[in-house]
Amino acid sequence: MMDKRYWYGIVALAAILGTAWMFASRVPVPGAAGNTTSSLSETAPRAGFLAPDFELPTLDGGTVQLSALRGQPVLINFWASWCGPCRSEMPHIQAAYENHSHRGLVVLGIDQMESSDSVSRFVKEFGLTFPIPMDSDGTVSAVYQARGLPTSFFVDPDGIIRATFTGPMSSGFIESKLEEIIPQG
Amino acid sequence: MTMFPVINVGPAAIQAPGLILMVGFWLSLSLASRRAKAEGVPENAVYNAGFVGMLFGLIGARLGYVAQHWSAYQNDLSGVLALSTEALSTEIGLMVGLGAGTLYLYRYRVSVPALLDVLAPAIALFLAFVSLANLSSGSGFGSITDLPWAIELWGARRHPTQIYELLAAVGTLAMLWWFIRHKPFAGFLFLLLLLIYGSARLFLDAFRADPWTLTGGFRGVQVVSLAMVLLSLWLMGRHVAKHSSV
Repeated sequence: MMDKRYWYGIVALAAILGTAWMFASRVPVPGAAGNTTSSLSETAPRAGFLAPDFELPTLDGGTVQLSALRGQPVLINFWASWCGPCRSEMPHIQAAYENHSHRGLVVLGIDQMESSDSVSRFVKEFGLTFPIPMDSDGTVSAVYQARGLPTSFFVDPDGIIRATFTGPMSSGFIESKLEEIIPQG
Repeated sequence: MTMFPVINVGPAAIQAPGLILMVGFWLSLSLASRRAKAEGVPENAVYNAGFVGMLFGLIGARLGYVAQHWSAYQNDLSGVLALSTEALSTEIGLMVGLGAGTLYLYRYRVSVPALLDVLAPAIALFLAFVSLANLSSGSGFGSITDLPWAIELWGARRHPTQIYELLAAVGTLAMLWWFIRHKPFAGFLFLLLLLIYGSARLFLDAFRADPWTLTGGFRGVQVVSLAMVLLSLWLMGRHVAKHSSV
């Protein structure tokens, strides 16, 4: 039968080996304290990554390029006029834009593959005042893997995605996520 | 590799990870309930405690999130009642849910080691579903590697950490299943869960690219896993020492 010393030896060995492995596999990032994340130079439609760049025509005849907005917090929202949950959250997004545009917030309400007429009717119905990029062929939606609508990305002034969400957002949730990307003060 | 975080059924978009977790929770609860009888724990107690824990956990998760972001909610409290998966604080939800489930079980005066043995295989099964949910959403992704079994994810070839963790959970469950009929003392299955799954996560978390990082670059999950392993070994050792000295 194994005695006490044998077991305590096993515990000590496990402690030494475990600590050595933890030490060897530390995250090699300076100032790594905090929560998450991956290399900020990689691009992917996911929190912790650089937001994929795109350039799209807007409903009002202009163009918008995401990388040109560097230095400003950006809320990217993929939507379509036929999507019920998009309709329910759109007033909250417009209100957030009105409340925070003076702090530099940019909202890009990217319409997914619809005609200008349908989009114009929707914009008029909800009184939207932020830019509406037109993803006519769905290329940007595919890059952002926006398979369900609505899908939103909260991008900080450095171009890093800080949060994503698929589904309708309440005003409180939008505000809580904007707190993470809008510089304080 | 293509992830499927959302399944489109007509106009409805179903969140696949949430669906997988719900199925996993239900199957785990069913497994725990089936095993309860064999361990002398009232079958209904486990089921009811599971649902009480889930209900209070969800309420706690939402209220916890609102408390953490009070300035965002104070002007419009309607979002507190939003029927969606948004705005949930996982850690607070888990604490409240576990607390509520435990309090509920307290009234049944259940033996703690027996209860932990009932829960151990169910926890391993649920952890397997958590890995599947991560595989579906692309969460818990691995670091970049050129190993032949790497998967293409988030723009790079990465360690398939979700699959590593799935195998760890399934392996743990298989081991626990074998020991159900051969366990040397009450509480052993739970200690074995801590030991095997803790060892696996201690090793595997080194390959995660999205770690919960502590001061000094130490990985939080590894610290918790090592504590689980040491606690398990120490308690097993105490049991062995007690019995060898008789």
